Amino acid sequence: MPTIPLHTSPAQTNGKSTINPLPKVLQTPGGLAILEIQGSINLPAASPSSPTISIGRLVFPDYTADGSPENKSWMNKVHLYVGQHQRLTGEVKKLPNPVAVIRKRDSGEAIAEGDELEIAEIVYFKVIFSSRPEPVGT
Amino acid sequence: MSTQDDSGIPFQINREQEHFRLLELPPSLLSLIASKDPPNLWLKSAESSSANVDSKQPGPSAVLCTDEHTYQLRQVQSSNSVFILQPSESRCGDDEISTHSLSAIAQCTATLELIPSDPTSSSAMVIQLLKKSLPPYKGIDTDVGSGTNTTFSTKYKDKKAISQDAPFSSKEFDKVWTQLCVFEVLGRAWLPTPSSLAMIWKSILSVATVRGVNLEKKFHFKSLAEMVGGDGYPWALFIAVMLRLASDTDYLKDNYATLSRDKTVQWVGIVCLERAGGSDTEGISQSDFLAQWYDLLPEGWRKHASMDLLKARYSHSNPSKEDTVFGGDVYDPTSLENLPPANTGRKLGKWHEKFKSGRK
Repeated sequence: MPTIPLHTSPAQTNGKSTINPLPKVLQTPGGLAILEIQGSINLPAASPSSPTISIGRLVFPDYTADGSPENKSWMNKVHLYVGQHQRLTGEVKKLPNPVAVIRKRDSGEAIAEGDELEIAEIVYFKVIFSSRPEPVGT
Repeated sequence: MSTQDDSGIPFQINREQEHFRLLELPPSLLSLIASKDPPNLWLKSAESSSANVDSKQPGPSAVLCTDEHTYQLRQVQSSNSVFILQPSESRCGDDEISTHSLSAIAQCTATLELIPSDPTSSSAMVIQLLKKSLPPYKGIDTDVGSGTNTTFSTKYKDKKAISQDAPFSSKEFDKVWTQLCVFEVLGRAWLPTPSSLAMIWKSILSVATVRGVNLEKKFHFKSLAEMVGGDGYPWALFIAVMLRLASDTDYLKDNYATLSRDKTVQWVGIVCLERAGGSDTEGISQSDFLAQWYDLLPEGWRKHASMDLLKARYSHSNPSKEDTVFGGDVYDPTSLENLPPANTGRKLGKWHEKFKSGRK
């Protein structure tokens, strides 16, 4: 059907009360955030034993949870440790135009009458890594 | 509570990825969506089937519409890896202590950008679309009735079906629908030709004269409609003409209509001009044209007819002499050829693939 409704809010809010480990600025109502890497991550060969592939750790070295909300200097430095030996340095950036994260609406009903889409989240900030990885010792 | 310690937030990628699309929101749209009363939004794409004989369907292939505005979708590819993260819990080691982590649940290779459509070119494209997809109503000889022809039903559509396939906002679509006096009979929409409009208007004028109804003032239109219907014109077309010319639409409540002088004078001029034909025809001399125009106006409104009202809607064979005028060029399909080409043909399956056709 050439006309698809795009709902401006999600049908179901994220029921899971998972604690969001991200700094407050990057937290969204549904928990979705955007992380961008210039380049790509080479994933290890498929080993379907685990549902997830561990990449590494995300560190906001200058961030303190109880810091003043006006203080944005921590946003200038973010580290992404990839595997044991590489580190990317990036920053938290405000998006020039906020981005709607769109997904297919899961109506939860058996009768699916055509596709419906929904804006799952509106994201205002992203974490971006645009530099080359540097080697680090463990 | 500190949400991270020195070791940072564990970051992982889910093997099973979800599907998301990223859509950049221009400030005008963002403020609407973030408002207390968010608008209805639709993603629309042009009809993708090959039902259209003419493959050169103008217009964008995928758009985002509010009720009033149309935004064209443009897909911008990125060579960067863009991950959608979601908070998760992971257990590390054997000590069964769960830690808060982040999982990449999707990767997006492209972002959709929205480009506001120019309302003028939108309405030109709606005109094109209606002219292509609607059967012409040529006058009382066109059978719009119950129809002996059974192939009718599959080929002809009603307004809803056409509007679903039209990549434009409903307000833009409705405006052109009214402007062209499109009407529906038994679930089929018809586009009246200029000469059929001239004929029904002539019928309205003469019936009004017979009944002593002054069209320049508020009038009761029901008996007029019945007599015009007696001439063989569909009731729906009469209503479409009233809607096109009415200065307000309240009349539907009590069967009274008030025609707008400015709208009526200009519309009759347009109809005469279009009836005369475009530059591929012999045209009509300006004096003949004006005579036809005056002839089809209520007496008190004739002095308001002026070529100035039809600016940009006609052309002269010889501008210095202003002898022969041609109409219809405004709606000439060739004038839309410089618009972005539409992507046609391919049957699109998954919803996210539908946007791929918008890629440039």
